[in-house]
Amino acid sequence: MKVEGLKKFYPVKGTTVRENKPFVHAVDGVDFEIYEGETLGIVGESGCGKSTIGRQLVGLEKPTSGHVLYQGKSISHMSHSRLRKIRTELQMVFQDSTSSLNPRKQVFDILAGPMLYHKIVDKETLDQEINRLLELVGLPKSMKYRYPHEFSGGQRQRIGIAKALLVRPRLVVCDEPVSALDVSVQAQILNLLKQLQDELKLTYVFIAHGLGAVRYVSNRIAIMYLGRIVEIANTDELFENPIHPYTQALFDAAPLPAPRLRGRDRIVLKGELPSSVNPPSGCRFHTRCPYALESCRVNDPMLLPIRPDSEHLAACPVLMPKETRNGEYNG
Amino acid sequence: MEPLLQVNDLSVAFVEDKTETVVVDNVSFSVEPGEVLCIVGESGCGKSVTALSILGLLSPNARVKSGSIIFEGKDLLKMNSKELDEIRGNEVTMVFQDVMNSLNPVLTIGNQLTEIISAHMGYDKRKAKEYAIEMIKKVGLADPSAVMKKYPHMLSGGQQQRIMIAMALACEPKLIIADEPTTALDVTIQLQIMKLLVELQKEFHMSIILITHDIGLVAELADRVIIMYAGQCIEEATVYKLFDQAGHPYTRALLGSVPSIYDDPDKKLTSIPGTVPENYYEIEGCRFSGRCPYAKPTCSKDQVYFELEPGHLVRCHRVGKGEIPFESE
Amino acid sequence: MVKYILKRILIALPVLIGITILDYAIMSLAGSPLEMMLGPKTTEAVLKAKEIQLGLDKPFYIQYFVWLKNVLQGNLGYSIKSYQPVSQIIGSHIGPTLLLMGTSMFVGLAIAIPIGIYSAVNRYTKRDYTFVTLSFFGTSIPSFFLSLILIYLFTVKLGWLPSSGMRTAGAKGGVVDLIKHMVMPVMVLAISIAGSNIRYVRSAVLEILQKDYVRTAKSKGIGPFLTINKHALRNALIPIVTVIGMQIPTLFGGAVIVEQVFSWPGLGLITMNAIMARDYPVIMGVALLTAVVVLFANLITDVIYALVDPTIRY
Repeated sequence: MKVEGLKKFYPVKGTTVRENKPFVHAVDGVDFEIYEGETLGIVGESGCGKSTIGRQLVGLEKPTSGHVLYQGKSISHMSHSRLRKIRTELQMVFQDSTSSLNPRKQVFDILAGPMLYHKIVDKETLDQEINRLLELVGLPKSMKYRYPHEFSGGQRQRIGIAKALLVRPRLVVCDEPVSALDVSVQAQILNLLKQLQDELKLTYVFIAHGLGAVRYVSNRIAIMYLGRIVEIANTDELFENPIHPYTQALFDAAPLPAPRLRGRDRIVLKGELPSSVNPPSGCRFHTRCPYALESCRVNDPMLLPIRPDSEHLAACPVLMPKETRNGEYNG
Repeated sequence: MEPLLQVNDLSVAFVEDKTETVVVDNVSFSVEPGEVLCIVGESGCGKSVTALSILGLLSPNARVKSGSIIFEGKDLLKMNSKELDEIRGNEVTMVFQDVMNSLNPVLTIGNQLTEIISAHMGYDKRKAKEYAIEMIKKVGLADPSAVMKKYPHMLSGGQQQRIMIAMALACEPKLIIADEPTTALDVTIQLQIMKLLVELQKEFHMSIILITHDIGLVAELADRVIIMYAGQCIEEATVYKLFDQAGHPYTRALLGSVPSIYDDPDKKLTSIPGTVPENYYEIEGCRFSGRCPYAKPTCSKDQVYFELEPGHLVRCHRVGKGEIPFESE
Repeated sequence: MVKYILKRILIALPVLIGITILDYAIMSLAGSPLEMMLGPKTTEAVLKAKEIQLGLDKPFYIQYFVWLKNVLQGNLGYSIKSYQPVSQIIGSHIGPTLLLMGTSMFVGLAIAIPIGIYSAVNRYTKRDYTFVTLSFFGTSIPSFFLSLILIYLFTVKLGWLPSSGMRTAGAKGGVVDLIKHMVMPVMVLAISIAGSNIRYVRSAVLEILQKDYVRTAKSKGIGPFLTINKHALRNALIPIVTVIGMQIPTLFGGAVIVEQVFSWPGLGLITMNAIMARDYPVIMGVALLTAVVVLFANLITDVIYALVDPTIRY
């Protein structure tokens, strides 16, 4: 999949009809690629736009501008009927399976519906397929006639995963799939996701705010702040060598389960997240950046390789390795 | 030294349609002056209910079945509402989890702050207002006089939580109970709030009971840790001991199941199979045995909460007998 | 805020017109007033002349537009029965209705609100069950039945209170006399009002008491009085105000039955009589008044709602 110049703005609620209607700049110019078979993690805090991107990727919403290209074709401006055929290949696992499962339907029906609609199986093989699916996600077959509220949170999440997998997708976007779960159950689900990726040759986009979980499952990670990607690299490279100050701050902020390292030096970000209706001028992060220079207030940095030919991209001219610092700027 | 707070054999049950479910089962622990005690556990283990019992904030369908909570020589469970009100907000205060819903949406910040000051510190209106502004400044919010006039929904989650902390600290309490105060917040904001709390704790020489499920946070903040499972305390130790040599199999599995960015990249997450059984109160013997990799038939006998070594309590006889080897980190 | 109000008024106008059209249509289905005038001495010719005089020979939609045109000029028409101007009829009867209903509403709420709060705070206790049961009685007892019982008790048996009218005929009048006439009808109405509102208040307060911020208030040690009356009540008032706002139109409609039983000279009485006589202009006059009041009450409720709840953005 390829994302080009993706922007998504939402009008601010409750404003009267006027010329300069304020918009929430949820996603404000994002480019990246997703390669077959990998897991791309997208990390950021609230308001960074990661969930919005997730929805654009599976065609749930149309972007304000820019494209999402799937296998070379733009799905963002595709007709409804053409998109319908592709939809089975692009699926989503949601954060709160409690509210994304119809509480009045039995699990069997929840899973059977899409399978029959998309003619993935016919009525004879339906039962068999559902059994296979439940086994795949680790749910007991005996529970297929139960209702969602009779399952635990972790089990409901497994149903959500089964639902995403039943149409035989190629790309699965997981939007905070474990945030609402207990710690020990999170581990179960993360392991399951990894296992399923191997077995079914899936491509994942893993959206989360928990760095540890993202690192566990992802091959590459993109860090987002206020609607833009500020850094993107292979997982190991990113953790060994984080460039962007926000990335570093995120890493520092993650609580470290090692009491003896408590007093260590870390970046504590000042201030609050700026409004995405009126993003700061120049580099969006400059208002909270411990390394900000005067130029950062004016120049909006581009996402550039930190070394020529490197796949590690960062949007910070201040902290880039010296060789590439003759940076180009946006606009 | 006398502990600041001593909880003895506390049992709390929920009553619904004449059936009782015991959610806190004979829990005992103490809090020393000036220390940070973390109570850790997953949802449903009873940690929040334990915390709410201290200040008598349980919902109407909850009943304290036994136990005592001794604070400065008096049993809080035996106090009437009036006596408790002297202590609430004053000597012992609480910071709640879901901060968006924990502040009254129709009252200004200033109103909600000054009322706690007026209730306990006996200041007049003007002095209370000045003091409130001081507190807002102290918790790191800019333009305190403007904040006083705002309503909660005009502030962000992090700012609201700072206000809750301001309210909790206003009367210089001896003990703050913080129930998952940062769960709903972004991780960078969480760091700000936690640093603030630690700073103020040292300044005011308070004790904190921090309730959380975030192991990382425990490592950052705790002096001592209590692990709860299915309504019982199953381990208690200093934070260093816990991370170096956790005893109980549940604790070990818990520590191993949290993905940390500092882990070895190839490390596999330990996941605990299954879930907490529904009617755990009725289980004979160890409540964790159904999911424990070390379970043996002897686990079906009632487990004693005993002292493995000074300051380290465990509720697992196999650990006690040395049958489960420690892995040193 | 001003824009909000203007917008609401603008939307209300077509609604008002719509209501009056519907009222007129329904009313004309009920039959012509001419039928009520049939008597042994009336002849066809007289009826026909009457019909033309009253404009009743035209199709009903034409009649409606005639009526509408007049209303816009401030003329509500004349009663077919009494030939008095409708506006005068309404004007002279609206006072007593307002007095009766206003007092009943006040008394009813003065009973309902404290009891509702008490019930919610002490939920599931014996007293709570008692109050809720009593409130059920309050709403269930038919008002005419209760009226008759009270009349029997206080007028017939005890002779304490008069059973009809607003003032004692021929007497000097004065406040005490008025109050004596008001006691029973107010009691009947207040019991009904209190009955339904006790449960509204109780459930509104109950829902608020479960909220986290009430628990926070309690944890601050400010005491139960402040916790309930400052923190809980102010939030509970929001749904309560809405519900009370919806009951305001009844202040005008009048308690038709109670006014009949006690011969209270209010709007309810004349509306009833107008309906029986198919007195179109009067009925339409009252209908118009009711529609205006309902819309106005809704607007006021929304404005109060927006004022009381700072999270609402208009």
